[in-house]
Amino acid sequence: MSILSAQELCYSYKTKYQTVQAVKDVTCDWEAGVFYALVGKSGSGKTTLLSLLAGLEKPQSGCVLVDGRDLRELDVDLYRRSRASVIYQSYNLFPLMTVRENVMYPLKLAGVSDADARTRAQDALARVGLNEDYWKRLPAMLSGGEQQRVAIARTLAVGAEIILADEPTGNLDTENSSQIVQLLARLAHEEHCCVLVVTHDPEVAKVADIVYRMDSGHMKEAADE
Amino acid sequence: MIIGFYERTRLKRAPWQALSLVLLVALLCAFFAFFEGFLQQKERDIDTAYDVIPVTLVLSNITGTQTDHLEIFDYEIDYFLSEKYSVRAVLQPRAFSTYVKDVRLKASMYYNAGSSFDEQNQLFGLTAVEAAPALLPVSGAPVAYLDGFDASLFASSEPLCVVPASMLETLMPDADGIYTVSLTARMAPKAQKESAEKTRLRVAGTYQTDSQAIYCPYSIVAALQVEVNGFIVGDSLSATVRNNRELDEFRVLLARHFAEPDPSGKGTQLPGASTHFIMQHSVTIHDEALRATLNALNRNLQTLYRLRPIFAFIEVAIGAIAGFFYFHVRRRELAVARSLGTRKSQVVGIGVIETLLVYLPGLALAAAASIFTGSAALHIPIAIAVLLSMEAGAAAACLTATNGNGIRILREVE
Repeated sequence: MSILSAQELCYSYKTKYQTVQAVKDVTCDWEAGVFYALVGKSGSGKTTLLSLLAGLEKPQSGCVLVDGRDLRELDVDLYRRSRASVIYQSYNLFPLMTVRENVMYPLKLAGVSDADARTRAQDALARVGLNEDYWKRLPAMLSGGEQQRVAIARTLAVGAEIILADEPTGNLDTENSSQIVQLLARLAHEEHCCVLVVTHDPEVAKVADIVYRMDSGHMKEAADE
Repeated sequence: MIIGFYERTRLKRAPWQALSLVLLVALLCAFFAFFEGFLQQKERDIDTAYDVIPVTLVLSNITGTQTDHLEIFDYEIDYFLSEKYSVRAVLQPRAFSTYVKDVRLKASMYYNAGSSFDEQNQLFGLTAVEAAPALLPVSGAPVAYLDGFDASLFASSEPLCVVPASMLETLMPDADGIYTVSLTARMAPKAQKESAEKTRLRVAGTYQTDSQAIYCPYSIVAALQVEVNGFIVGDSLSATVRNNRELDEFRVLLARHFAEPDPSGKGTQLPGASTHFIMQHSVTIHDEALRATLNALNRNLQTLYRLRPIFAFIEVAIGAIAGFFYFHVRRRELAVARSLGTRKSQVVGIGVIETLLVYLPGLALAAAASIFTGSAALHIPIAIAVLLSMEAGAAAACLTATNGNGIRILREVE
């Protein structure tokens, strides 16, 4: 059974002048251990689909299934806290928390004790290649690539099985971009996570196991084209 | 748990932001405390004005043009001096005299101290030295009291007197060095009746004058008048209102017995009396200074009372805006917290608890400032209103950051 599914997912939103049908009848299954890329033009509905899968937006019709269960029946906060994690282009770290505290945050949210949370955060940071020198730094003292690694470590620390990344390499140079993509691929293949990356970057699409294309709200596998 | 973790890092690394809100709370709460203190000071000023500004009343003729040689009747004098007060034979629960203090009454007779009755030989009875302007320092001839005596002699019933300095030189002291004046008294120099026995008055002081007037306690002259005349007649009367807060009540009482000064001289009929019974004297109340002061203070107070709700509204509005923007600038952080699975209630909890954490030291600071400066205590309803408005602003900002558009905030590139 797929870990994450979309069934006839539809979502529209109103702008000042019109109603935009951002996601139209998207039906798809995503498996654990696979690295997916979602490409498409700006405004094609990629990020909206990601938000729907993360439970940050609610679909007007259709549903998102997690392990076969409708997301609407689940505790969405708990889902985002323990199973699905979103990585953003702009990193979205807490600016006044150190690197380690940023990674500890979702653990504390889950009720983990300070000592355990610290150990698990340090372990996750080590896995993304950030050693002890970085732990007490504030995000502003890190490069873009390093901040994105902290964001990934944050998902690793809670053991998220679904990683939804919204243009994670959008702000990074080629080298850092490549490292982050490799890291995400490793999460899919070695940590058995379901990794879905929204991207404009053809390099990311090249590394992905399966590439989907969004066009005017419709999604289809790029291989079908 | 998560709120504690978040606040620990937040307040440790951005104390200045929190401190700025602490200071704002202190400023808002202290300002209103100072404002209330100022208001209370103005109310106390009104009390002080009532207490310290003397209001005097002066008896005059019916036209208000003459305040001496008035022939004030004994029943009129009784109003001011008697401990009992009756209206149409009905004893009133409160004596008229309790509304006044420092009654300055002067009554006069003519004396003969050995030669003859003369227009110059006047004997004045005073209840207080102030009743005789000739004896006051402003006259240039203040009384020089002999050892052991002072102005209080006039309030006594002792046979004492103040004589012209030139008269003292003509007197012989007794073996103890005491000077005494012996005199008989009449109501007028050529009146038939005079006091039967000589009245001996011990000299207690002198004053510089060309006249031959002798001043003694009012009770001495009153007793002589009753003996010679059968009743008491006063020359002048003035007094100070004992309690200015009772002035309006006292005016009503005065109006029963005394007229308002009437330049036409027609006089005023005594209430309830037959038409031929006209009030003989009028009373002028000199409360101009009190009224002017009270009017000015009341105007100030009214302005302050009008400003109070405006200031309260401004404080509440500032509290709400400050609370809102304190968290609104962090909307991305709050949206991040929400995207990581922080419940909406926990995000709002962050806002509410952090607001309380910065509010309490601000309140303590304001309390310390009000104690240190001696102004009024903190105005609790306003302090609570400021807290609630800040909490409302904070909660609104937290809800805005996590509601719907939270995802849009997260997608914004910094």
